[in-house]
Amino acid sequence: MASRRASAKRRRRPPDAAFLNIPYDAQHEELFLAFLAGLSGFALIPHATLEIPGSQRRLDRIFRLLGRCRYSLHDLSRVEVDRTPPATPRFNMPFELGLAVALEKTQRPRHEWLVFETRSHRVWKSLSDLAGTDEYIHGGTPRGVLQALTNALVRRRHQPTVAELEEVYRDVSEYARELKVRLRTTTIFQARAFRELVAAAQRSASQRVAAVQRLRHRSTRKT
Amino acid sequence: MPRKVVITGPAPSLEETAREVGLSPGEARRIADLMDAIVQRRLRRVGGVVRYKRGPGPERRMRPKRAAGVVRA
Repeated sequence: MASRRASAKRRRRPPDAAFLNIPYDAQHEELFLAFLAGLSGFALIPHATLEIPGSQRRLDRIFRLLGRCRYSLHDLSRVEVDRTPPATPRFNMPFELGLAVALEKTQRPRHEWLVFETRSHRVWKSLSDLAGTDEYIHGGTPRGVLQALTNALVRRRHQPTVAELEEVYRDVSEYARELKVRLRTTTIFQARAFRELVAAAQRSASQRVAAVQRLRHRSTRKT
Repeated sequence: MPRKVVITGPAPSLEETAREVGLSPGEARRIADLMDAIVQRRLRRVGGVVRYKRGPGPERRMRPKRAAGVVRA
């Protein structure tokens, strides 16, 4: 009995992680929090390039982080030219999507990626190489993000509802407000804030989302 | 119809999440306590805690229209 329990403990799969590729600007803060809440509601651990400190080997680190994640979500809403001079479009997000597509072709188990957009069919113009790939439209609202996530992600047994994910989103938004005051900052797009928000979203999801509670119950029963 | 992704992994515990993102266990517990306080506060604010309605007081309780077996004089 004890040996069976020990082998079950050894066999326990680590939880899946998801790479979040989203613009880091104030306009997208709510959507960013909605993605964090939604991914936690699906029992995924979010990762982002925010965790990576700036250095010469940044690209290698991004690729390594992406490779550790089973899934990646790419929001290609930010296609406008940046207002701060010199006016330039932002290429980071499509570039990281390209890395994810390359990983899908080479990595086993297969890396899976999903594309999100505010407006439908715009990505076919901005990135026509994706023709034939359908994107998920969130309409630029947190509820839209949560709905898009529940359409894109499927759990075999227990499926979180949009209402549950909205509760997690509200909890995380409140946490983010308090966090900004505590860290004396105006933005959540920092490594430390990101780490805290991931842990906070996981905690909220474990209380608000019945699917996560059932999954936790099953995994603790197994070990 | 966009493709769907089936997730099969287990739900992460607080410790696993903290380890994955590089937080110490103590820090993770502190964050969990702060989030628990927010959840409790929001539950109270939005009335998520089940509150049983009080029934009507004795004066509002419906009286029988006619008492059975009462013979009028």
